[in-house]
Amino acid sequence: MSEKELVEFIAKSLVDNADKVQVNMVESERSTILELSVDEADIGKIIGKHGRIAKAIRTILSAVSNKSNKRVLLDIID
Amino acid sequence: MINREFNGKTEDEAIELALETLKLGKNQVQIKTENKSGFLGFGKKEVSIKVSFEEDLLFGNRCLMLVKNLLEKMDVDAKIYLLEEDDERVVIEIESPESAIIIGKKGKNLESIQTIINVIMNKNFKTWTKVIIDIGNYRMRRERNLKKIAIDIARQVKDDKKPVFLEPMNPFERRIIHMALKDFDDIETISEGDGNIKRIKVVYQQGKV
Repeated sequence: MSEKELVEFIAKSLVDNADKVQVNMVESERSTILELSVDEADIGKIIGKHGRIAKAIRTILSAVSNKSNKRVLLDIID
Repeated sequence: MINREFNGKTEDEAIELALETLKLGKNQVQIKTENKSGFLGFGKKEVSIKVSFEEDLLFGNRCLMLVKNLLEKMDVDAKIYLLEEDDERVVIEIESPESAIIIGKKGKNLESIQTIINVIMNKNFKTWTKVIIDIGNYRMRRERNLKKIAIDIARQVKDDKKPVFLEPMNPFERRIIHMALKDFDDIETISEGDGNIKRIKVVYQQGKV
């Protein structure tokens, strides 16, 4: 699924420890949830000040999933 | 290979300046030190270094690659060009039949793409090289519209002497409004609110030039 790859790509580019980036896909009837986990030290790099970066990732994700008529949610696990 | 020269009071200072400016790691460049013992001032010495690196590692070229990869992962069809590059900023232009998806409502998607690209490219550096991403002149058109709105509102405020709030805007947009009204007589612009998205209040202030 391309949304999973997209989130993986963005997260790996943002963090210092790219090998600790993991994206888990949880599919339900109505939506898909992407669970993103990163190294503890990198959490701030994914979320950003006032959640600015997390919001940008979600915006890009919804732009792509709107195109394919899917509902894809991003969950950042900390 | 690209060659650049940097100066500093010490070798370390020159190297730090070089790496900060180029946004590269020490292992990505070759450094040659040329000790300049020129008689600058009262025997003040400066160290000059020559930094060489592959053309692919130029900041603008790396931005271009990153934007290309991101758009590929987003599965949108696009061509990408580097319009401008210096040590302070890089301007990238996207050309795409799917520009609506890339821009989004009120430019929301384009803004998010720009945010992510900026953060990735400047990560772990102290100074910030700005990456501006434009598509089909969207930013230029938006800028022109914002300037027009600013002037219209300022005229209205000057007539009514009542403050007017503009719609919430990002820092890029607010800057355009502030700049457009900087020299407008009797008009002051104030940003109000918290976080990244604030609203500008246009107020009447007699005598302000």
